[in-house]
Amino acid sequence: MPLDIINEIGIWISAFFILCVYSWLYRYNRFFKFGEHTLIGAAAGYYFVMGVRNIMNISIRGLSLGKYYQVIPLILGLVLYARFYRKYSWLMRYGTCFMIAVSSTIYFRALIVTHVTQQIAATIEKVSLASPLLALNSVVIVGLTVFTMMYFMFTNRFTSKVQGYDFINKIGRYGLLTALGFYLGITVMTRLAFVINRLEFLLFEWLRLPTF
Amino acid sequence: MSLGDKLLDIPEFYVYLVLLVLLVVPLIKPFGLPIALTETSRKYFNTVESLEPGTYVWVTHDAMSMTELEIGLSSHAVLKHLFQKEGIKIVIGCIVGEGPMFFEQTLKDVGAYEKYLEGYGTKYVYLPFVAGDEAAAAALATNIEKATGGVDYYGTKFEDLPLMQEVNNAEDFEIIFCVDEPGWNSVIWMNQWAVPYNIPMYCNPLAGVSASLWPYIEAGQIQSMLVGSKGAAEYELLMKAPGRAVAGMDAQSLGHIFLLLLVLMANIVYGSKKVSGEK
Repeated sequence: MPLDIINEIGIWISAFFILCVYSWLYRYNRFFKFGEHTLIGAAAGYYFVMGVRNIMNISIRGLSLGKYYQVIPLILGLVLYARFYRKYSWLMRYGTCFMIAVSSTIYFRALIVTHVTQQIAATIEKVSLASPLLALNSVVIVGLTVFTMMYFMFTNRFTSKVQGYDFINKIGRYGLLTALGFYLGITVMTRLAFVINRLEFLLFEWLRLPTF
Repeated sequence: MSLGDKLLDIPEFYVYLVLLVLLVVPLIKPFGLPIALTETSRKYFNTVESLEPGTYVWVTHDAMSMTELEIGLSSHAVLKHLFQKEGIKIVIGCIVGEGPMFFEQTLKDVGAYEKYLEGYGTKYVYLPFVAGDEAAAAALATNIEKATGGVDYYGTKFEDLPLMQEVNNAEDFEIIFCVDEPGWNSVIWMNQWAVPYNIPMYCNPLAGVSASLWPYIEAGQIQSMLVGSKGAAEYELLMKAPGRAVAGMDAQSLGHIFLLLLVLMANIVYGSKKVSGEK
């Protein structure tokens, strides 16, 4: 089949599924459900193939080259499926434990430097009293950082009754809400970009409208 | 029913309809609203522009279908720029399963596919997806050959790829570009590559994710970033090659104004009801 026809079929299928998904804006319906299920099915199939390919590249190829230790991750992966057999379901704990232990060790190794020490240093380094505006900026940054952390770390039945602590809690909450507002505002750009991209596809690739 | 109640009761369908019109009109007939260039985008562009021949560049292309619609814009712009640079050597890694699905199409879109197909193995290499997120990035940082099984995405052995004879771990690279960053992946690459090996890192996050990356930029752990579709549009302008990102910016602006008006309106109505003691 010529490449142009294949592309054209692809564009029509894409357009159909985009319209199926956006039909949800009108109401939940069968077209949306069809689009949703097709996406999940396709994604599951795709990830299955990628997973198999990953195992073939690393473990099976390694075994064929005489690296017999590659059998260990294979076994640890296989025991995860033991959960489907009640009698042997305890075996899956070994695979799960290994995964969690490796991930958390690797993550915590980086955590202290990247998320704690360097962040504290960067916050303190920004403090400047060179001008009234910079001084105000420094107070806001350091103050909100400390109070927001205090809000999380010391919120319990005892500290919430301590006189004067409400004030710190309140500033911490304002800091949090300011940050969340920023997150929400900038997320609008992402959501609109998704819609604009699909509209561009529908208008210019599917309907082939001209631009003026 | 008061005016405030009527405004709050507008059916969602009509809100979506107005938004649709506001997005479609500028796409068909762009207004050419100005796009302000930010310091972060300039810094990103200048860094790519100043890459010397012979520089070893580690590129991560962790594309996902749910985020590619926005990040694809900036990853296209940066990859186009990188592949235009003569003499730099690029190794592309991926720890997101969907990455490979988008990579070849991206190369074709940026016009680099035919040109670089000849240089494959010497100018650039595309590594296979490696599962395991943080653990995968750490494994790639210490030994690429072990982490990938010694083959590229197409199954070619490293022995047959001259570029992979020259590099095998994070220390061999001079700069990192996370050109397609769907969520928290920039932080993974920062944790396992940029900070431990002291390699400058640049990333292209979703606009929504960029908010959480500012502290790392302020701390100098990430050098700069392109913020979502706006960053992509700025990059296209800096490259003097306006494309899809620039074309969508008018629609972005109108969409933002409309949503801002809705937020303001809802707050005014809510505030006035509260003042008047209504529920």
